[in-house]
Amino acid sequence: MKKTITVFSKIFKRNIANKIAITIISFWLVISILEPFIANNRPIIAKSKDGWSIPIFDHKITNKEYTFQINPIVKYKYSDIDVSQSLLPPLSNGKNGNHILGTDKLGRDVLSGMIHGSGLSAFISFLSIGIALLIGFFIGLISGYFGNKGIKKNIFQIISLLVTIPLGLYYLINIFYQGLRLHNLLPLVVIVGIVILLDKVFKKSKNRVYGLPLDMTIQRLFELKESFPALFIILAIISIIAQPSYLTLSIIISFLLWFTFARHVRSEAIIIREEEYVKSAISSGISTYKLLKNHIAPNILPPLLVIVAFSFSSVILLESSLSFLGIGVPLEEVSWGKLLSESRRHPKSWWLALFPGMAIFLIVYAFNILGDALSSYQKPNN
Amino acid sequence: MISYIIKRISLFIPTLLLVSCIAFGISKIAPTDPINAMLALQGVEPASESFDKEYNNIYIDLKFDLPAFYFTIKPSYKRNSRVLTSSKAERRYANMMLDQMYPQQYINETIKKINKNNTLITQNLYNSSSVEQIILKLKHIETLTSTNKKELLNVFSTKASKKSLWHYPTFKWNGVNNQYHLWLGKIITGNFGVSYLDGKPVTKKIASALKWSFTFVLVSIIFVFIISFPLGIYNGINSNGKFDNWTSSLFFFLYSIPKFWLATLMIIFFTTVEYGNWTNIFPSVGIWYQSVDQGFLEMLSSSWPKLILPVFVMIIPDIAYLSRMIRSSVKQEISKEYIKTAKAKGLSTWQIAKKHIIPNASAPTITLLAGSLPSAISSSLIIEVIFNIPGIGRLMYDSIINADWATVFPVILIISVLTVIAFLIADIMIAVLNPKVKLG
Repeated sequence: MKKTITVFSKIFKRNIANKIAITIISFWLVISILEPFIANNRPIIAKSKDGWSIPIFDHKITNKEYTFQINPIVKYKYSDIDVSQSLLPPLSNGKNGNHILGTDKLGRDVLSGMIHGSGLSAFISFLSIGIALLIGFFIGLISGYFGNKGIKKNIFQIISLLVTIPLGLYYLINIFYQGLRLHNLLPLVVIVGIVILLDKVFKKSKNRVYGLPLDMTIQRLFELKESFPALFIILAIISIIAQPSYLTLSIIISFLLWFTFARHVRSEAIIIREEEYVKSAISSGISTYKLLKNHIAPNILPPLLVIVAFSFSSVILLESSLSFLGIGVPLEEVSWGKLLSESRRHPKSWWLALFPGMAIFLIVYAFNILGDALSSYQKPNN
Repeated sequence: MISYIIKRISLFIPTLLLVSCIAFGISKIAPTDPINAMLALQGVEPASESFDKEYNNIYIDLKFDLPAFYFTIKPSYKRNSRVLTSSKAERRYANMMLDQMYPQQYINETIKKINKNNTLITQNLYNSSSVEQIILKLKHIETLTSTNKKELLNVFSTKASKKSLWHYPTFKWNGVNNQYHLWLGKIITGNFGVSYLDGKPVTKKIASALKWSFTFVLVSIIFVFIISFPLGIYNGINSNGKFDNWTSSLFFFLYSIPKFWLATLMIIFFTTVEYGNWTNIFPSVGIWYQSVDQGFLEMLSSSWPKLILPVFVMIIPDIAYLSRMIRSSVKQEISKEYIKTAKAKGLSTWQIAKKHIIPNASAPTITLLAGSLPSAISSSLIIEVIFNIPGIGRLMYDSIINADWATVFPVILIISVLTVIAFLIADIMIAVLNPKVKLG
């Protein structure tokens, strides 16, 4: 953690573009985390006759008279519909104060919508990149470190795996379908137990061992993904989901994203596997788990940061284009892409086109610069 | 070379099969009912008496009663037999209850009772997947009177179910007489069927859309190449010069501009009269789908001015990207020893560029261009939607919005074929341009 901060502070000091980029990203993060406190139609802290209260967390509508109150900076909530305030230009006065960036067709404040949109984009990008990193790191490490000969099993172990894995998958899928119930969970636990038990029992057999073709399988998967019209398939999958939500959207995006991470982790792991210090660690009798945890994983992470930075910009772009197209996103939500798409129907309201698009552009630009800066920090000669 | 191409194509067949499986699978779990769409196209009213009969005819015609795939893996309590009755609601509920191991006698009685309350059940409960879910939904319907509710709750009871909670997978081989096999057979022979939306053959729709997409993507790629190649070479040779520094930061800026934002801004400011007459430079957007009496070239010649803005929007970020790449490959080339020798020999910069740098830098450029074809088709989707160009992306978008799955899946298949062909061309081009690269 401390190391990461020093890296970022070094990058920050390097040039003006990096300064701008890191400032934009921190600003985005702060706004996203504090989103309900910045734009809301209720006071943050207020004092009435009954004493102090925090009306922001109070979901009931109260018309209390407050003697003292601290208001959020933007006094509108993103979902406040007020048709009489429709399509007001920026800096015009509304009921609850100034609409700094104007309003949309339904009279919702654009600035508070954009603040909410920033929270949404942060949620989606962090969630989908987090899931993708977990999957990609795990699979890339297995494929790169173990290769095709890293894990060896004899014929009995292989057969027991071939029989039990599909059976386990069956119950796992059933858990997804029917929910966590005893009659699905118990067989799964039993099967996992049997797999481990059989593996231990058959280990003693003196039969010939074969390497599991893990790397080959994963490589085939990469090749398949290469010739996949990913965007089109994502569109098709998203559009059949009955109730679209940002959670499902980010899970679907993460399924597309983990390939990129896995590929990079794999190639890094192959390089590090051959390093002297790894070989000496192996010869000193370190366990595989400790080797992966203490020596290999920490050295894969820094180069992966570059990819992560670039994928933030691509996820935010993908999310906003999907919202712009109106596919796979909840109807009632307000996001940058949605606000931007509204401007197509109302060409006179330039503020609907300019500001949300500017937000997308700035954050994409900032992450691109950050990615570039990180890669030139790690490979100064290139 | 030929063996390499054969190897690539043989690798490509499983990919295509997988794509077709995914496409078919999605069409099976899609919530919209294609038969309803087809009946609507024929003008059959959903409330009319002939609806159920027509529905069943199409159901049998499309072979929806066959198993979906070569094999079925089911929980042990599910039955393989399906019920085919004349009423849609009856069929739905009977099959659902069969799946949950209700005795046949009980199902028959329930169906009779259902027919009494038909409208309510078809409207509110039709989408439930199990009897438990139906009971849960029934309890929450507020418009129902309590006696009616009680009656219906008596109809659906979980007590009669013989379904055991413990289950194991059962495997059944269905043979070639299944929906996927028949569908695939049709697709291989080029019969994509007709669109649910307008009844036109899908092949025709895709062909006309592909013409537009190809024109659009090719024109953009040519422009990108013409502009970014000289820029990249110049900046690579004079790297860290004043012009290079300026364009580098400018390109980084342009590269990050979201295409759909640029497109929206262009449309708002340059195709409307809202901001004064002088900004209304370009024609308003929208090229409609090709009508029958007008040829493609005729259409193109009349509406090419409408392609100016989309091409502009499409190429701006791509120029930034490509010239950056060319610049870095030229920079790498220029730092090599033989360039120093050439300089020492007394060749001018232009001669070195012409003889050594341009030929060596063109190989990665062309690879990049060919490799960018698939992503160009993908990224042109949003541009086509915004500018109303009747290309493949717009066809996909329209079909998805209107749940026209008969068009969506052939489009996905065609695009994955195009993707693989583009990568193949890119690979072959590397090999032709750079004999050092061994294919295999």
